[in-house]
Amino acid sequence: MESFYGRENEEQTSETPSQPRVTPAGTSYGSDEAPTSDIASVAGSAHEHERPSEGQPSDGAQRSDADQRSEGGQREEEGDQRESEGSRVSVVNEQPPRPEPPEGASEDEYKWHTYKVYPSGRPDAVEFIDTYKAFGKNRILRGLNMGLPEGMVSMILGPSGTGKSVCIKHMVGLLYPDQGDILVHGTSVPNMADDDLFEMRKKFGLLFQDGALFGSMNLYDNVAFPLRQHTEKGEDEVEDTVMRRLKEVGLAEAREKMPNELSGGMRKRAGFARALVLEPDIVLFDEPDSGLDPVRTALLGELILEIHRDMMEDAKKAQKQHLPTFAVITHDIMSARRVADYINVLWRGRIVEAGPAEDMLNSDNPFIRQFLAGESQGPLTMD
Amino acid sequence: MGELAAVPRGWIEAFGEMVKFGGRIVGEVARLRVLKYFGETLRQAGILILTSTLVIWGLVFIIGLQCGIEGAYFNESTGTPAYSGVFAAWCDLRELVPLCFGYMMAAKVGTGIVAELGSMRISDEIDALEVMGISGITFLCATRLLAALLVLPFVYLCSIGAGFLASYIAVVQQIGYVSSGGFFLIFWEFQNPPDMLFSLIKAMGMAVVIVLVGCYYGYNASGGPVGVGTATAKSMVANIVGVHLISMLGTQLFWGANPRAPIGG
Repeated sequence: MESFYGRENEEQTSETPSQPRVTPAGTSYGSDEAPTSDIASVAGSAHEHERPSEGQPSDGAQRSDADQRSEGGQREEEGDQRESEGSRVSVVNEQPPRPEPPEGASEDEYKWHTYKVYPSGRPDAVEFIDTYKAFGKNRILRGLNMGLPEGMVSMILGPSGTGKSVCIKHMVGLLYPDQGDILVHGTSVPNMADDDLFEMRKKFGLLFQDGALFGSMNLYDNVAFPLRQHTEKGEDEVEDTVMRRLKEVGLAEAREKMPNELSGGMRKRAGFARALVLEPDIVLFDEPDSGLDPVRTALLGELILEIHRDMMEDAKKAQKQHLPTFAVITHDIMSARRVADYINVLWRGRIVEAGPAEDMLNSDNPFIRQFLAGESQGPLTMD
Repeated sequence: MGELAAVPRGWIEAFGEMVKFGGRIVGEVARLRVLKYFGETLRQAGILILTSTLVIWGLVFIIGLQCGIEGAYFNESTGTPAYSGVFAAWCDLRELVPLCFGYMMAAKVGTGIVAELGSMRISDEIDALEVMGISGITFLCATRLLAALLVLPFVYLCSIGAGFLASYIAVVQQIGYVSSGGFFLIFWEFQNPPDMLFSLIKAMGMAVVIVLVGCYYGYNASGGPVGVGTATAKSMVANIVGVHLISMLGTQLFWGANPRAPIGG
């Protein structure tokens, strides 16, 4: 794990004696395949809290701004401390009951879902709570509980058609759940009024699969667009910011080009620059590596890490309330291994397992092992 | 039987959705929230002027010529060539100029909006806009409606002028059964300023409907490029039907009870 926070997490884990690798398994719902323990040490991740009933906001929705600020300001220093404070040691098996499979599905279909969530030691920037979403008869999210920890590069992995892109659209309020809730920094997205929703979206930068650049504007104007719409910056200041972002993604020379003159990789990088230009708290990447060759995929992964590292430093210097959170949707296992601090594996509309990359890469769940190794033999088939 | 019943039900549902969507756009303009993007409004107004004005005027000019020719030969055949101006006045101002304006608006502006917004939709540009915290309905649709309201009255008034000019050329200069003075005497006798206002209202009603229908089909396009093509075709059908309905209702409302025909004193 090369990323800034990846290393830090490893240090945290290793320095926390009460968090041995086997037992810190967070919430596990007792699959036959999953290691279970009668003595479970539960750390302070939002995943460990009991989920509210469907459609109801969780505790997080009611946290006061003051609470969040005090958390945010001292988050770095208190990381280990909070983990130990938030942890508790049970002397009896406190495993919550394994959730029922969704309506119309058999237990057998979900037998690889252990629902285990390894602790991240951080609050979640985005949280899905018992989220259901269907398009006609096609049920995509089927009781999804998932979190994206603050200050980390999270990956959402899973086979095609499991609802990864749908997740992103729920986070930014482009889609609404049929049931359940989505919290962004503790605030319920589906319950927001339109004006609040548009305001909340300024927290997000989203890199679409093809960049989604505006075809009627050149590259410079595309990247400058959010600044011109949302800030009072003068044109000189806008130019400074835009050119800095374009240089970061290696497109300073292409500023006058129209989107149709750019290659797929360039459009992705331009979309990345545009997503970052307002310095959002949460940046989402929808398959940034699709259609790219392996070298450019690796370079893009490095760029993501580098910019996340820079934004973390800036956030710490500015003592921002929320640390920058990146979430990447991908099928590319190599990218996941290189970039991820935290991995959510999604299948059939639910999380199979989630946790820091190290834990997930060492998971003994056959589905996770197969998927992260990219093997053809295992629970996941063409069906 | 059930399937047959589902078709009109689908139309009614779509119409309801369209009205609801159009109401949101009109609301954004009426509440002046659109002024937040006045720069974009001016850009759209400029595009409208530069790309659509000449085509509209050209079509209206041709229809003005036709009105003049038909009127001149018809009145000649009934032994009243001096009354050629009647046909030109009514045909131009009340019916064919608004209709041709509506046709060209539907064909050029309406389909253009569907194609542009539809391609933005399928390439995720509208989603990108929304994620930046900018309302797509306000930025893309309300600005287009306001631009149309700012620009099109002038475009339409000039269209009427083009139609009148064409009729004059056809009746007086080309066919020549009536003198210039005789033509204008009758021509102005059969219309007055309120008629001009009513004609303008008809045309603006068409323009608003066309822009709203275009925005609806474009903004809600789905199914890739084929979906955008289908949406464009649907919008054209809806707009042509809408244009004729507005034309008919406008004629009934403004001139049905009082045709203002000073024939025989």
